Amino acid sequence: MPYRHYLLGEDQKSLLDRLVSQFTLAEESHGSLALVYLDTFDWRLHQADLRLVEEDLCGKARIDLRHVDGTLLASGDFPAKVFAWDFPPGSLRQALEPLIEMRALLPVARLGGRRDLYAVLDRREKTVARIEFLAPQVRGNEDNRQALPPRLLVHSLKGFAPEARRLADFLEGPCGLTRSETGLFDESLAALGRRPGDYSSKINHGLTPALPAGQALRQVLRQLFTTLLANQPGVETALDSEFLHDFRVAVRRTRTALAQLKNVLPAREVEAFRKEFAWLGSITSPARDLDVYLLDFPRFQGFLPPEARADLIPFRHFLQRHQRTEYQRLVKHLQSSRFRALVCRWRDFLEQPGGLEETADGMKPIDQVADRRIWKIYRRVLREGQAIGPQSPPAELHELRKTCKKFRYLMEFFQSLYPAEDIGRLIKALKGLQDNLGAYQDLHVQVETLGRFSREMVAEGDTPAETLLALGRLVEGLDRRQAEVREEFSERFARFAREENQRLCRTLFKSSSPEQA
Amino acid sequence: MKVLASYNIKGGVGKTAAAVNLAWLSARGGHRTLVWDLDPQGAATYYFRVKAKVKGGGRGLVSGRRALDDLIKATDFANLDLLPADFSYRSLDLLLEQEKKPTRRLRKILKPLAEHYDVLLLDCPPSISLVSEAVFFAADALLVPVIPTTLSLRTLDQLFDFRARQQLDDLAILPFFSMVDRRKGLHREIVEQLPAQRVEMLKTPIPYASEVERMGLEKAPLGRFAARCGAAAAFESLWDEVAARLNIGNP
Repeated sequence: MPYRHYLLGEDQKSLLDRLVSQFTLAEESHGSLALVYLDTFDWRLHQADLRLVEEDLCGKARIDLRHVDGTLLASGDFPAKVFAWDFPPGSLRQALEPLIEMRALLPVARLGGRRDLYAVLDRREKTVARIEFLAPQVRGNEDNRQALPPRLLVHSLKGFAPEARRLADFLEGPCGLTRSETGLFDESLAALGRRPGDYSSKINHGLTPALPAGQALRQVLRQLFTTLLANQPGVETALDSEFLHDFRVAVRRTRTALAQLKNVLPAREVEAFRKEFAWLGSITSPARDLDVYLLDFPRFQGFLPPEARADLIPFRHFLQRHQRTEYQRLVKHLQSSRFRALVCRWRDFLEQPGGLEETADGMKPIDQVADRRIWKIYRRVLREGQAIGPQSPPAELHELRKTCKKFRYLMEFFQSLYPAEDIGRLIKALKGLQDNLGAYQDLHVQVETLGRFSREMVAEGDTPAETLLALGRLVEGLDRRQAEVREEFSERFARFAREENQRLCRTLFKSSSPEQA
Repeated sequence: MKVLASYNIKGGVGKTAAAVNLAWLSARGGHRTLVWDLDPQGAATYYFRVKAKVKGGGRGLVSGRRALDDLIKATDFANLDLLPADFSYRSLDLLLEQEKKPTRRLRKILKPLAEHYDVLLLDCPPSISLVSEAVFFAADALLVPVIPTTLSLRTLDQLFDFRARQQLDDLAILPFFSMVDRRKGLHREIVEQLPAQRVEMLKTPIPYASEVERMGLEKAPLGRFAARCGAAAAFESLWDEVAARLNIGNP
């Protein structure tokens, strides 16, 4: 970020003349501007107050990661890569990896136009500040260009703050320029009809307690539908694994909302949509499973001694091959008339569900309905969890896991109805339990599936014996880990079900509804 | 953060030229780099066109009353900052002596910089003193320019002995030939034979070149005004060696 940012009314030439009368300027570069702002689809860099910019400086690529206050955190003299792991080892990769994880870096705004850069020198001919004249153009995806107002940027240099201030005073005083508070990044996005952070998979609706449940539920479902559609293009082009993940979460949340609040919307339609969303869940499973195996691949290798890790590589190729096939299948489903019909019908239904008056809960205030449903599912979590002992079969843990997900989704849908700190604490406590259950279930399934994959690899032929051996060792490792995770369950559950949390749940969900026993 | 010190007991061996040019290359390679000009003569500071003055002087720095970060100046180059020299650095020995554990002091002062920089290059004054001892404790590696003469090699031996006596096993000593004049028979002979006998020696010799002398006139690193000259290319390959030896850029 520059020290100061001014939109220019007068022409560049006369302003330059005025500057030269007071300061020593040296031309640093003249020419075209070519820069690209990058971020992940879910704005992870923006959320962390960072900007990643790829610039073309006279044919040489340069990439800078800066804090929004302008501090340079890391840079490289190469073009941007798609994934953090594609970057060469170094500070840029180190900074990006924990933030963007498995997400792809996508261009969020491309800028062209003209740029003239001048150094402001002191009497030692040392650069003490820089000024940049920009006549930027934002480029949209279809290569249409939109000119932004010309501007002047003042860049300060570390240790030379008084010099930058003197320059700014001159520009704002005798030259009469007015500071602009929005930056190039925000303006470029605005020109593209976007704003930073305009996508998030998180849900939080500003619901009011007295809102009729039917309306509140539609609001929730509409947002989930928006999320689902926003991720569809990313799924179809397989940009990264998280588009499908977010797509599936939106589907699962929709299904939970429809099932858990079934007396709110007209039953007949809800029944039909539940069937269609179940279908959507099932057609997206195989591709997601393979995504997960590929994301877990480095972890799988970690289960093996270093000398055996390379033996797993053919397994990765197998996964990649199948992942491609499953994605192709999925894309066909998403282009099918069944999916298109679901989208159209669902959109219409969310606009005009009709018959809310005839449902049992549609016109009731949402806080009552939410209290009742959350309290009910919470008690189910307790009941199922308390019934699990050291000998309980995996299926019981899986059942509890599913119930926990429903509990979590319901709390998230309706979190705005409860004090933020309380609901946040409960969600966090539940997350601790869910992490354990999720890890257990994943390991359980992986142990079984890896056996199946081994057989399929043999059937497909050409699998080295070392790879099958390594897979066998991996299964042993996962098995051991599964036992450890299972051991941890009782402690995790006890922590979640402790009296303090129970009291909180009673206070939040039980007291207000007269219908609750 | 990797701490490198350009150091030699003797003066006039190309220490500052090495510190400035290697720092420039480090910065160009994307590493956030800081040069601390510890030499009161302030040659590195001069090359970067910065005034050789530090608020509070050496005393403020050593006592920890002044935060290092507030005294740092950006150079004209991206990723490359400078902590300027100050005339008071000539009595840095005395100032260190007043502190508890004087040899560990510098290391402590540098610690907070690790958050902002990947590479720190100390341009050290020529001597063996408390300051150099403190540098040895703070640095990961000493870059030692050596003019290929018998006497220079003797001082290099003294340095290795010193490291052994102080049990500074983690300190890498990376000597390299500096100001090599290919017209001189002795230079040629030593440059050709010595690296085979000393494994720690870096392979790239830096030639004696008029462009390096011109750094004083141009007040800039070679890359700025003579990027294509032989000496610039030599520094580039020397930097590649240093980065590879010290695993810079491979966390």
